[in-house]
Amino acid sequence: MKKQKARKRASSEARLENAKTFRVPATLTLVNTQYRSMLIQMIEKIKVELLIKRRSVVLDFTSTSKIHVDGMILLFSEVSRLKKFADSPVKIGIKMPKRGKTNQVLRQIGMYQLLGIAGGRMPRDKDVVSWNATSDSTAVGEKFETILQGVKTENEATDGLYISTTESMTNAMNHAYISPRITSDNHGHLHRWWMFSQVRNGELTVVFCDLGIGIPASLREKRPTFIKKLVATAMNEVESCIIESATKPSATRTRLEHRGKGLPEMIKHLDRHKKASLRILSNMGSFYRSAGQTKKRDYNESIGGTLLIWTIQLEKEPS
Amino acid sequence: MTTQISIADDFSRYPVGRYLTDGPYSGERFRDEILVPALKLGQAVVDFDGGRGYGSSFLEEAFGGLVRLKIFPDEDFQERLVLKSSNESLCAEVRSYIDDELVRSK
Repeated sequence: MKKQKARKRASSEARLENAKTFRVPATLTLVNTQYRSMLIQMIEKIKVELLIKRRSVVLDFTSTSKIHVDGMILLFSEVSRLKKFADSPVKIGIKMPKRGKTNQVLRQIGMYQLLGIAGGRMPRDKDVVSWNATSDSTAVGEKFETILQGVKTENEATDGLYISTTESMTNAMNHAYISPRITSDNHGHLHRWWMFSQVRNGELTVVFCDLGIGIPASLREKRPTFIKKLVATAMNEVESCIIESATKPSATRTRLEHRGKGLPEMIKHLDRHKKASLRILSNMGSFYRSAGQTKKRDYNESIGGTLLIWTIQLEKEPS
Repeated sequence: MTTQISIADDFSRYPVGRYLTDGPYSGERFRDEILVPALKLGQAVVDFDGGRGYGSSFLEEAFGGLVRLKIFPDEDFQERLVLKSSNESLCAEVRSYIDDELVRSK
């Protein structure tokens, strides 16, 4: 059985002759500066290899041992986009992780299926089967139920999540893809959103991702005067200040007063719950809010899109 | 004539989005296909219960759009619009979108 598996793996890699191999970071996350940088740089290099040099690539997960939803969703969404634009016979392959749990996660979120790779370990660990993944190219409310699978006790905070996540879908439709994407691969947008969730240690994490132009770029384009004034006072946190401004009423890209209520609405829902938090990562900016307090910082590299990450403490199930 | 409208039963349990291009159950679609025809006939009683939730984009386009797009530019149509919800703040939110547009239209 082991020899059969090894042969299968070898043949899968052999089909990608002349492919360039990229080692996926040991930890997939966007919050830690070092790992964020490694992930973003790897993605940028893969784009060039695949779409400009038109050469197959292999994602080497053998060293990947820790996967956080934010890092995973960015990688998954970018791979989805690259697969869409890569012309045959250029392909994306995988060198499977050594760690069984990592293998399970990749199968659970659909990475193997996306790349047409058979095999992978059947998810069975509790903290893996609690991962849920969904995606679409329009705003579809029913998809919200996918991310609540495994949540046994809903509460007011999870109810507020429907509004927040569907407003994110609407924002992605209306604002994210309004201008050409500035990217190293000369290809355009994949008009899509992705959403992952995980329940772990009594906490629900939901992350929404689009690969649009980002909140800072969107507001810079449509509200240049307003943003110029804001940036003048922002010191080192330019992009995160722009994100923060988008969470306040009336800072809409369109200058139309009836628009731009989505992010402020999310903050309103969030602030009702002490045990909930929201982190918005958009391009280089990071805005974090919990219990009415905010933290902002800018990173050196842009993620090239927007992630919204909610964490909610779930109520303990009755014994 | 009075038309009873349950958004969850007559439109979708999962309303989302502002424009037709956003998705299949947008505020624009609800307004134009269900709400406006009902208001043109007489009274419309809109029941929000049973819906998964209502984002501002959906509500604002469906109800604020009645005034903004000059479908019902005058205040008197509000007498024919009855809002029902076990969540009172939802009805207040909808009224605020209509009121905001009435103010902007003056």
